[in-house]
Amino acid sequence: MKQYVLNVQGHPLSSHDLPEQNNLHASQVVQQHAAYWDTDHDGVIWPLDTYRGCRRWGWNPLLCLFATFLINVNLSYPTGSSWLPDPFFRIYLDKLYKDKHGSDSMSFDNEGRFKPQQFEDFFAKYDEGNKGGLDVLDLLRAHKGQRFVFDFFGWSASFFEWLATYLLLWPDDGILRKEDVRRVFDGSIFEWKAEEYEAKQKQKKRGGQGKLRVM
Amino acid sequence: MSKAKQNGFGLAQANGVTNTDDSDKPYTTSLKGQPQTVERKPFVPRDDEELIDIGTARANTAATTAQPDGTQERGWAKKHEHETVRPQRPRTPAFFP
Repeated sequence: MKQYVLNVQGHPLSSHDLPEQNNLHASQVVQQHAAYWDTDHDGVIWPLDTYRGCRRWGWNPLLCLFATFLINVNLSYPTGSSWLPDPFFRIYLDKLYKDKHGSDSMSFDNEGRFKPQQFEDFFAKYDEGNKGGLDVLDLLRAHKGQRFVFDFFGWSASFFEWLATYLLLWPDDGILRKEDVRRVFDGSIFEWKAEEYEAKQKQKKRGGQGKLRVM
Repeated sequence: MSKAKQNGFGLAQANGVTNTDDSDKPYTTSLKGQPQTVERKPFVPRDDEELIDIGTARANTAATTAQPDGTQERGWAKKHEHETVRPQRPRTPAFFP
């Protein structure tokens, strides 16, 4: 339990807290972003992997199904090595960088690296009042401001990505913290959120209030 | 032409070797297992780069490492300093509002 208490207060995860992400250091940021779903470390994300990963956050099965559909159907083909689409809509992590799309914060570059300047720009431009994060209004302005012309794929992709980010973080005060968003980019918050949900469920079963003690 | 060269035109081509060496840096720009990051390396600023805040977008100068203050030829940057970079075009500067 102590481990979660530390984490809620924003301390960095120790290597002990990151289970089995052993190829983390040899992977690009965009691969780290997706490593959470690749539970067997074979570099392939099947639709079932996506579904299970989302379920571990406590999301409704229908929502998970919808997310899996959007993610695997749309992002599988660019990562494949064949001209033909993958019949199982698998996503291959070694070519995940090919899933780059437009109309977003542009914090990933075309090779899958992370671009600090673009990330900082995004918050500098849209964090109105310098709150240290983005609320729903900021996100809507960001979505409008970051659009490329006629980039229907990018518009909808970034919309759903930020929607998913918001649903995952679900901040009490409605502000997506910059640090949490950063940890969405490198994927480190995904496992943490799953464990947080697990702990909540356990506490509920034990008859607690169903809410994590922060102190 | 020699004057133009002196004032910037052609200078970028002459000094235009882009630095991609990250060996002195505390971060890495390419991974062996990811060939695209080895083949397509990003620009890495040197410590003594004349162009400051290299990632920050400029409103009215098309700045590069070779031309940290934008185009100096015939006072281009000075003449257009009230415009953003986008509408700056030779002879049709106000083509798009």
